Amino acid sequence: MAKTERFYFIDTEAGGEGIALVEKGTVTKDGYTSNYKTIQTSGTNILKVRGVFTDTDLAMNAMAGTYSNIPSRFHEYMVNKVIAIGYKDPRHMEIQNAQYFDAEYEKGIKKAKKFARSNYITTGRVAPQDF
Amino acid sequence: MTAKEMIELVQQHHPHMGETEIIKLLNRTKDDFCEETEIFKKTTQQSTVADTRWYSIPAGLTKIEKVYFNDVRIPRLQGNPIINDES
Repeated sequence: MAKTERFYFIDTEAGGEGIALVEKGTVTKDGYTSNYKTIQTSGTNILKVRGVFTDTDLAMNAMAGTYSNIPSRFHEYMVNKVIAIGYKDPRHMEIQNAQYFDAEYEKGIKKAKKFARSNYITTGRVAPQDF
Repeated sequence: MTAKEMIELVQQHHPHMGETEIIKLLNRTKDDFCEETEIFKKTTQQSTVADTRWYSIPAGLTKIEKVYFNDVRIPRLQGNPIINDES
């Protein structure tokens, strides 16, 4: 069975920014020719998108809510950032405190990046050695 | 940590800040945090329809890593086609 080459691209269309799916195939309109046409495959087709997401917002009326997709050990770092922002408010400005809490937040960013990368490490492999 | 606990921690330093303001700042910080650290990755799926070109971008998506059509990974097209033949 001949394979059909398919592609995606991101652009702004009538409904805002979207993902477009096209496949190789000639289409002509108004004297112009394009080598990519909209996918014609009928039936149930599934588009899967894997990527980086932001967690769901906290809601005003749900005080028991949390950021369920961010491990709880990192929640305090986000609190630190908000404390830092508070200390930058001209009405209550304390720059030293703001810098301290900003630095704490940056520490959290580093740790979280390391944590996110570690998700891809599953198991190690011990190489055999002859003695 | 719940929203209430986070608000209380902030208010220990800034008792003048209200809950609404704190939650808005937390949510904004959370967006920056997720974007910068890439700590939250997932795969979403939606059905496609023949002869339809455009699909919505999943809510909360900040970076696309891979796209699959019927479980086959498809590459990103360099540039955009000059004709939109969607009916």
